[in-house]
Amino acid sequence: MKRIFLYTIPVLMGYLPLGIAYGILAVESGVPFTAAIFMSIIVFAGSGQFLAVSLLSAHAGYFEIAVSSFLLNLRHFFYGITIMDELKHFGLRKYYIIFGLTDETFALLKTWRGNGKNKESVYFKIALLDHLYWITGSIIGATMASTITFNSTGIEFALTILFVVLTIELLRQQKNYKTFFIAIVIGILSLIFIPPSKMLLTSLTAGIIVLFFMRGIINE
Amino acid sequence: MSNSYLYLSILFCALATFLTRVLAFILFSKTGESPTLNYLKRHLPVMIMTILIFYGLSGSNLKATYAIPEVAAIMLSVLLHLKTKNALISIFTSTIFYMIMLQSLFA
Repeated sequence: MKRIFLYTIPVLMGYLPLGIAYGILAVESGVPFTAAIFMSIIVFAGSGQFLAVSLLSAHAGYFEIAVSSFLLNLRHFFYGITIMDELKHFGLRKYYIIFGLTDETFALLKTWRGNGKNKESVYFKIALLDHLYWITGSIIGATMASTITFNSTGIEFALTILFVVLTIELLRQQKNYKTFFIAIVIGILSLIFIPPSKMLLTSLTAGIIVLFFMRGIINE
Repeated sequence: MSNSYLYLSILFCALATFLTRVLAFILFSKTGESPTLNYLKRHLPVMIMTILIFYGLSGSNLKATYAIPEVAAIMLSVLLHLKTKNALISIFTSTIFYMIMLQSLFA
């Protein structure tokens, strides 16, 4: 257990502050304390929860919330493909490991070097520890926001910055600048022409359609 | 925000998120490799993430600020992230920078 804990410390260092940021943002955006923590327990997705808070405070519909959560986290589908052969023969704990397959947990599972005997139990503990770090961070953040009053105007911009950082990470790994520039054009056009309440679903749909139609050009 | 709206929304968010993680196990019985899948794997995340930056911007009152604090904070986050490669430093510093600008210069 000690070895597993030490192995997850980098995620602890990341999830505590990010969870705190989420907790503060959620409560400052008007999400009640209990609901904010409940979300960290049953959703467990960093950027997904930041987006959900933004959608909740804009009173988005259920369909929009479900579709945008799905699309934002779709990269986890590709993690699943990469790791499914390993997990397939696990018992019931497999479902919890799949539930906890965040970017960070995935990275830890993929790089774990240990004997294969009790892999299921090791993977389960890694996912569980990461989940606990995330919940702890959220509780600290939500408590801070509930007890300390400060001028939080502009705090919702953390969401935009988070997406900027994630985009840079993706570009650094995949160097697919063509797609990036096409997405910028779609983004600017929808910012100008589509009302904010319809912007997210419309631009995401446009982006996916363009990806399919411009496959020849993008793949060159 | 009514309680039923709040908790139903969180539930839908949780189900959609879990679906992305379990989908591979539902769709493929063994590791699937296809050109279309590889194409989507390489291009879909960047497409979605970049569009989400603009969704984030749609929440700001860009006309009132001429987008100055927004563009400045994004530029700061890009610089910081290219230099430090530390997501937390980039996010915290740029958000606080944005909040200070918005609350002082553009109040």
